[in-house]
Amino acid sequence: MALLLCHSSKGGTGNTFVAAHLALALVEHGADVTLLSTAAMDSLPLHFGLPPSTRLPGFNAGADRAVVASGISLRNDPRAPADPDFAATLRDLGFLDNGDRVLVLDVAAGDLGLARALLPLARAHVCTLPAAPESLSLLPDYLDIERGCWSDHSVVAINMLDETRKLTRHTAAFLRELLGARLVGRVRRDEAVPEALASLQYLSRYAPASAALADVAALARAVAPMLERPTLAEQIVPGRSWIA
Amino acid sequence: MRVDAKALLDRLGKSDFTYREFADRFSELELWPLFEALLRDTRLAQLEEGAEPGHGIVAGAVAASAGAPGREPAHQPFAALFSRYEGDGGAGSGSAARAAEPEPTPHELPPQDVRMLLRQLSELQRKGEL
Repeated sequence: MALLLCHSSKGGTGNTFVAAHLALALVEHGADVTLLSTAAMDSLPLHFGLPPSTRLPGFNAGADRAVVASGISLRNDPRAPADPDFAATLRDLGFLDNGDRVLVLDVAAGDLGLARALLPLARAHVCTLPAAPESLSLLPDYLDIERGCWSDHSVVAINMLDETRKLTRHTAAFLRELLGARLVGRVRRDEAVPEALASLQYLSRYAPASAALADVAALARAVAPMLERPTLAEQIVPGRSWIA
Repeated sequence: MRVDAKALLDRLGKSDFTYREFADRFSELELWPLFEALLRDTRLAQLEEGAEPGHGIVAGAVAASAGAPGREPAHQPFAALFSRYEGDGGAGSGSAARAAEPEPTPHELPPQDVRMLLRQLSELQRKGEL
């Protein structure tokens, strides 16, 4: 099981959107994917065309309560951020064993403590940021070992990018120069994304030609190879792949 | 498709949009004070240390060793970006922060032509190769 951590320095960056579409892309590539959100107020079902009344099962819930969308087991565990043993539970339940499955964790920005605890266990950490001053201003703190959430396995994806706006364009260029290879993708601002949510449809079905859809697919292609690497905490079995 | 988008396309006699990217060359970008302030933050140095994800150093190790004797100043790797604020013009050229900084001595500057490097990076970016 490869752990892919999705956590951003601030809320409203599209972290859940990116987590959902990374999970969808990984499934398309043959991975066995579980997507777990830890948000108390969870919008994850909406990204899978599910109505707001959908309640996702907890992390420990049995298979009979599973909600599966596009082959992805969707889970929600709002108690995780307050559970000091959550990482140990992941290990005990086999979610960190070497294997061909992927656990995508959508951790809310406010749950920084949980993200920090999971960081050493993740094979990749994707931080989703809009190219905006607020995001930039938080970068030093986010990279701060005492306060932030950053490791050798952390990468950044720019989201909601609108390069027709001067400051956004400049900020994105600055991020490109600053982050170098750590910037693994950008997703253009696309009205089709909220429209698909409002239509209770998958983005791929609502707007197959969506710019954001193509961008997030490219992002997934950049992130997927990272899941082959060992975590910071342990080594994986050589030659083992996350792809079935 | 949204009604307003369809109306626009009808007026233009088109059936679809073409998305245009406005990718500026980095060397032509406006130097916002926020960018300058960030480049002076030593905590960003680890981005340079571990530029390739998976091939760098864990953040803690970088932070712990940043003040080690004989080590380059933590912000030094960003001299390429930082040096843009030392010239004339730009939104951040007159900030108090810059005034408080000593002028870089020649041996502190990177040996390569930084602007040429940035131009090359911008060109690669424009071509989609970066």
